[in-house]
Amino acid sequence: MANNPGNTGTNPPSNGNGAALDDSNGIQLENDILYLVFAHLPRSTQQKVALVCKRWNDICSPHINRVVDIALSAGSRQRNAGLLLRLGTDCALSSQVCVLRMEEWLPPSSVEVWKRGQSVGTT
Amino acid sequence: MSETKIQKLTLVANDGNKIEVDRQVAEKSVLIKNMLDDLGDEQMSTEVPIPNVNDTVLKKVIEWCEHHKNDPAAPQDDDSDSRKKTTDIDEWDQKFMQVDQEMLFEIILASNYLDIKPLLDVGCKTVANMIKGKSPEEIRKTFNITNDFTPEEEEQIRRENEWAEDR
Repeated sequence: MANNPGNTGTNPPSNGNGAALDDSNGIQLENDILYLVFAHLPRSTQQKVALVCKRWNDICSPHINRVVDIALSAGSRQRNAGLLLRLGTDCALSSQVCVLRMEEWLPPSSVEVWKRGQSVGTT
Repeated sequence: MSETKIQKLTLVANDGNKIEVDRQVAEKSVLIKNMLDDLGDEQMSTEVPIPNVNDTVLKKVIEWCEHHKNDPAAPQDDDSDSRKKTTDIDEWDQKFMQVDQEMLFEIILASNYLDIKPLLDVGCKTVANMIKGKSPEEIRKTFNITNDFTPEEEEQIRRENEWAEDR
């Protein structure tokens, strides 16, 4: 599974078997198979996988970004500001997000919570 | 028109070696099953070329199919997170997967090509277990991967993903 620099984000050259050979003739797993492998990992491990190399980061990102947790707690303001900015400006990231979870915040009774186009209720 | 169903198939590996298997065993491969369904027994030759898999790997894959030939079919498209996140592998499969890394990858690639999802699943879980509990550097060593990040890029990814903690 040796890394193939310059191949980031694309399928490695295939020998027709789904395998791709690197310089040392080792067998490399295709991106879609690595994607399946990473699906079996907890998020903490996926974060480590993202740091292995560029190719693994590209393949693992959709798993990491699938569920975004925003903890609205004291001390998380700076982190949330950066995350929300990225969600607004980084198309690759925002297209991978399937679930946005708000945690550690109960809106006061005067606040009405809106989901795009519809009210989802007040507290 | 004859109603006789082919009961034995001969799989021909890419090196020309032939392996005879029961139809039930061969049909663990969705690729082969679809081929049989589409062509029908009348037009189907009992010799099935498997051009992308060599003899050694094909034998290993058949060994797995033999052992699991009576397993119930897996539910279609069971992509639930709970199923995916588990890396539990049954004891026989664990022993079966105790092979060198090259053979493990060959089995995964063959199961992907032959469309044997449960075997692909076991292979992927085995690789996932090899990754679990390791640092990025240890993972690189295990799979002989070169770190192509600059320290700045590495730090940026660490920062970007810091919210994605297990909860």
